[in-house]
Amino acid sequence: MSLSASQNRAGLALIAPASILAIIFLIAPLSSILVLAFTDYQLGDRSLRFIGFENFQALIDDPVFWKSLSNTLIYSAVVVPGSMLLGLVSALLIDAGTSLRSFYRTAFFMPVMASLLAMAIVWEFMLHPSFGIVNTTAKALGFASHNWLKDGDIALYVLAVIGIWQSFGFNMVLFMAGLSAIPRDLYDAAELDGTPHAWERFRLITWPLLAPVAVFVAITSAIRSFQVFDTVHALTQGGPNKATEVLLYTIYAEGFEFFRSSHAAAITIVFILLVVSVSLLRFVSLKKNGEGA
Amino acid sequence: MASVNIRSVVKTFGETHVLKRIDLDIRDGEFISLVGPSGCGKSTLLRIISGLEQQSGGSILLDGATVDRIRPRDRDLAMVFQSYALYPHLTVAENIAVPLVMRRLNTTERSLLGTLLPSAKAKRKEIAGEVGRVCDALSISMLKDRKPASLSGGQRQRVALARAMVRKPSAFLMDEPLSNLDAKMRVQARGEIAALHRQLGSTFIYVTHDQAEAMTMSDRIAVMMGGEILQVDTPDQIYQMPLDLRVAEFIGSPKINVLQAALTEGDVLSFTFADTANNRVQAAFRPEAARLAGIANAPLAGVIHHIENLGADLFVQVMTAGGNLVVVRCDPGGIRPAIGDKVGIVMDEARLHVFGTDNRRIEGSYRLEAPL
Repeated sequence: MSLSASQNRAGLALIAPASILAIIFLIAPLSSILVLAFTDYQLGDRSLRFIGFENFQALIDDPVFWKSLSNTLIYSAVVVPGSMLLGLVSALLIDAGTSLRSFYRTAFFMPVMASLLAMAIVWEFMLHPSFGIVNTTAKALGFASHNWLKDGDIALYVLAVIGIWQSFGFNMVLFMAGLSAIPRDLYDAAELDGTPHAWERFRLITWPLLAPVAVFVAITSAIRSFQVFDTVHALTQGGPNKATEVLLYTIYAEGFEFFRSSHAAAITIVFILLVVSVSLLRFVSLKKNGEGA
Repeated sequence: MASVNIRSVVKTFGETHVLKRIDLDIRDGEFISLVGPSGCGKSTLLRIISGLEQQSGGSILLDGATVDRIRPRDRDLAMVFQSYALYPHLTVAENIAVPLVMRRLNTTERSLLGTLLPSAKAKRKEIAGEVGRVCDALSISMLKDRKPASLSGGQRQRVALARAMVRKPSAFLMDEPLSNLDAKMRVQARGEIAALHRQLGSTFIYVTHDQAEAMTMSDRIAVMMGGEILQVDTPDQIYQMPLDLRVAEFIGSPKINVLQAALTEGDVLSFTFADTANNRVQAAFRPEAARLAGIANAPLAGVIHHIENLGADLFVQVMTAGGNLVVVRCDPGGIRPAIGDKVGIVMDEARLHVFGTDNRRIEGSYRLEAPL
């Protein structure tokens, strides 16, 4: 079907607002980063020079970048399963319970809504080596106290725990929505069909029917965990000795503390590739599900 | 095989009395329908029999033994749900196999690694054979590898039936299994379920709001209304000897005609009575128990309001002088009345039902008094 000239004009006029916004806020910044990554630009420079892949070569040789990348992946590897499992378990418990459902839902969702920077400061006091509640409790129970945020071996995992605390409420809400879409009749049928206990019911009905939600939760959790920045900036600044250096923090430090904008742009490209590849995973899984149904 | 005895079962939700002391004895191998309008408690009663719902009082006995403390899975019953409740992620064959897999394989054999065990393999093979036989019996073998989403309503209904049958339970509970089918499929499925009952010989407890389903399939019908059983009897008895006006009105299509009447001495019934009469009753007769006649000496008269021609039957709606619409069945082969005709209505006195103001049947052999 061919469109008349006026239809063409109308179509262009209708997509114009969205396109202009997308160009200003998405495509233009992305392309300028892509361009910057191949230059030697530093913040404040009046001119720039194209230097090809030199920035990326520098990244490959930079141990801080590798540390930062691996820290980000370790952080995700802890936070994604942790916040998914906790989200799923709390969703199942709330769904099975009869009283105080909305109270628990609100309570667990609160960290998601709170300002993470403010919460990070609260955590800083809780984790304070001498008067923090964590160490006082540990001591009272007879456990060894730690300098949680200054110990290079555990600081990243402490941040991951905070990450789980902050994000599992969101996953819980998604899982609860998924659970409410499962027809009750199926559980009745399963009981008469002889499922012996709750675990078997979970395996027969809940988990398979929740799988699409779980994939979605895994991917959004992964992307959000790649973006960890607030707690790192507020609590450790990437330390001690780069033990909590993560990609977004490295980008920030390179770009706005050392003013090496082109270097930061190169790391940003790596970061974007990471996020895009996870998003593609979701696309593939959606396509697979679409064919299976 | 099992008999089911329901003893003084009460169910309340807060202040609402859903079931008010239900007593019902269902014989081994019987096909009984629980029929009634929506909200009468029939589905709740079925769920209490299955154990999915706990009664507030009373007992359920299966084969003479009380099962009140026994979990649904251990009551040896199978249920077909209105929604069919098929597991959407499993194929038809896997769906049908679930009751056997859950009961014959232990937890280890069911687990992911356990499928490699030789004992699990042997059991699964045996189960596959049984699933195959049930599929053959219901002619759904060609659907075995499909998922429920790709099946038609009638096919899903058969799969649900197969899943119930495969375990050979002692009784089948069916909760409106045909209400999601279109009218044509429903008539066909009615015949199939009745045939299945004859073939299996198990007890069937069938819940429906459709009186035609209850009439066509059941050995006995229990008519429920407002949380009570009004009458339990064979379809013939329910139709010809309703003990309650509400039963008479619920069963039969078109609906039974009900008119205010006066009952005078010697069981004489009159439709023309003074309003002050304190001997008021409700007289009822079915469309086929009346015929059109001349106005002279007819106990009722009126003007033809509408004629429904169903091919085999002609249902003539007559508006009486008293403002009641009375339906009379006529033979389409006879003289065709016309809308607007003034006609008299004569009833078969033997097929007159008289109910008191409390809706209970008043037994008697009545004579109709023609107006002068």
